[in-house]
Amino acid sequence: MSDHAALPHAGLPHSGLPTGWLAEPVASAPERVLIALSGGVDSSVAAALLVEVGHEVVGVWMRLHDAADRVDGGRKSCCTLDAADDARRVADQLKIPFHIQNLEREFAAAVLEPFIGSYLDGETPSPCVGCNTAVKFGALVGKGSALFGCDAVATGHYARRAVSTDGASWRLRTAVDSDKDQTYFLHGLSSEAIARARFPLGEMTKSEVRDAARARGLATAEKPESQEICFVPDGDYRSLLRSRGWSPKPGEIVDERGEVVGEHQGSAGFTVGQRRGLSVAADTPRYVSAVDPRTNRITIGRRESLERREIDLTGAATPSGELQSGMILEGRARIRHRGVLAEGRLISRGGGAATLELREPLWAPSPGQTVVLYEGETLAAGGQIAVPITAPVAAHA
Amino acid sequence: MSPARIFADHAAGSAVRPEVADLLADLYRDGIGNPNGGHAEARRSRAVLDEARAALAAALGVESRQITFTASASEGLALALNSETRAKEPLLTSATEHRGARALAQRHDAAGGAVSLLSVDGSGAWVTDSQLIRDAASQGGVALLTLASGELGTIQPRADLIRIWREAGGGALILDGVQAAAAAELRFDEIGATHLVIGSAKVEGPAGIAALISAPDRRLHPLVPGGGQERGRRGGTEAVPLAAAFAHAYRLMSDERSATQRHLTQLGEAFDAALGSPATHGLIATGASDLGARLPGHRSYAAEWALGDDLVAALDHAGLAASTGSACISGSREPSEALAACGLSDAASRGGIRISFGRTNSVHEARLAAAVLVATCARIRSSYTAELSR
Repeated sequence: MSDHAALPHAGLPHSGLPTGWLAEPVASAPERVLIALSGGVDSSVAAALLVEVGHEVVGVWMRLHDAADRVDGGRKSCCTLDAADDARRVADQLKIPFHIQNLEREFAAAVLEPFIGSYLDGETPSPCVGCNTAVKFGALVGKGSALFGCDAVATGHYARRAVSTDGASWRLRTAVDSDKDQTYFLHGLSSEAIARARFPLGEMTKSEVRDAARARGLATAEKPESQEICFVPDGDYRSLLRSRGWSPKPGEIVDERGEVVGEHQGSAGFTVGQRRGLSVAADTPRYVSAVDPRTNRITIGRRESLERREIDLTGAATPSGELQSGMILEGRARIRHRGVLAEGRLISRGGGAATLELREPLWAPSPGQTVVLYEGETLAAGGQIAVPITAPVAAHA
Repeated sequence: MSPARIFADHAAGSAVRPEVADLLADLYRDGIGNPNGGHAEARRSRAVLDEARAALAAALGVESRQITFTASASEGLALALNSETRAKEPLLTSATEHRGARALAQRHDAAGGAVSLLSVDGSGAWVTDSQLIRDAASQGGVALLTLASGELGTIQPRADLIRIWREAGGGALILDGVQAAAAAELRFDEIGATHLVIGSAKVEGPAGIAALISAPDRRLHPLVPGGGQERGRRGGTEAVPLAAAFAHAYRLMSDERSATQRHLTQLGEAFDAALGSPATHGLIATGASDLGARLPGHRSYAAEWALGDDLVAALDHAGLAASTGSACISGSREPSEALAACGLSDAASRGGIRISFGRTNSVHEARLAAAVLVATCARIRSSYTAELSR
């Protein structure tokens, strides 16, 4: 499985569409489109563009959790009452209807609870992936269709779409602005979901979007980016875990030989690749290389010891469904948003299990995080980094 | 969106009627401003304010000095309660009160006062044969109650309750007459209340003004101290044009009440006929089924298969302005406490919807509103899966 010489050295397009895939066609007839307005500049411009090309647009702001009852002076999150007000103002400017949709239950089931469970299992969750898959392009699509007769759901994501030459299947395609490309977070969308998705900003750069907002005098034109996880307002997910009954217990920090080198205050507070918060004296920087919630033990190592050429995946799938056993996909893989793209191949063992073999190593794959594999500009498959069956430390085996 | 919209949310507030809007514009154009001052301009404003107060007093059967203008009905209730409650005395209120009254009751509770919740029957009507009322009254309690529910349309059996309350020696009786005022003439002396609140927006007057009518012997403790305005009961410069417009709207409403009631009754009948059996559309009729105990032109339902907010959004998209009837924070999926108190399931309590017609609606609109409701229910029910909506 680690015979990297067998990987092809040439023939992988670094850009463009792979054989059998076409750029998404320009919508020829007006559609009734639901736009998910976050109250930020991106979705505002996306809405404006849809209106300008003649679509019938319905604006919706999603109430996802009770952070919505807060107001945020700092204007950092997309999920507060201030954000809802901004979304409403933009809808008003564009003269489109505006509704608040409650998707708290869907969000709790698909995002919040798995997020907490994932941390407690020693993983590092990707909440935005679940939100996009199950909420924005899941429940919201259903509501848009049922309540407003909308055929499609648009967002301000930076992404494009590709369609197979026979028109039967859809894939995500990276955005023109590679710095802003968000296909990583959208990887869970099925072919059917992608068919109904609209990404009006896919051909634009962020600065073009800003300019477009300014040119149209949109209320959100100067609004800063939101970066944090929307339901963890201060970025402090440990206090969220505590509010859900997690009581941190001190545990051992061990080095790669299994020797105890320090103590931590709760393993769910740590993520693979983390350097901060390790009160361990060493000559060179040390990073978390494994988190084991069963033993409440954290393993640390030198930077180079976190490099991996083989990464096991769970939930590996293409937009058209689960990968069959023995199927091999070649392309470029990425294990974090805007992370390094590494050439490799994904070998399916069926049932969502797969191994990613890489030509060059990737650093610090964190269990729970998303892996995506691109064929050219299209996102061919994705999955989650599996928790290693055996910890990297021999002493644990 | 449908080009011709139907507005059927009059219980939330109607548009200002043109005669009243004209009066408002005239007053602002004439420079009517601060009525407090030693000059002719202030005296002119004062005269307009005095006249407004006198007109309202006449309509309600009280003296001018019994009327305090406030910025909202909620403020009027808060002012009355602030003046009447002492921390330890019980407060009698009901489970079907609107949020403003409930918030006041919660505050009383938080301050250590006991809150007695008057139970309601399946139509949301007070259960007046209740030891609870006598207990609260005999302990010198204060009652805060709404005469007609904006959410359910139910007109309360106030005479029974007030009689029992008074016989048991109850303290101040603070009544919200905002919805009830348009349905039947409210004469303060005949009702037997200690305080009564009426609002402007529900009688086609401007929002931002309401009146608290108090028994002559009651002293009000201002929430906002100030320069002695409103006889020292409420600080802040009086909104003279709003008060005048409110009084004018109230007089017009009073003059036309009988004719308007007949019209609203017709609208309700036309709507019912076009709707057919609510159950056919998956709707549970809520509030009083006896139309005589209901605000005319007011209909309310609950759906177990959708959130009320979602129904309202879909109706809005189809051109019908309706409401859940329970004003709450944006998109919250809290169940309606009023619907729950009527014994509805948790799911149905989240699925409340209200259609309330006003003087300006036509019979054609009432029929059309029913057709829109029918079509919308059919569409949502067929495309929603239980999992999706719940």
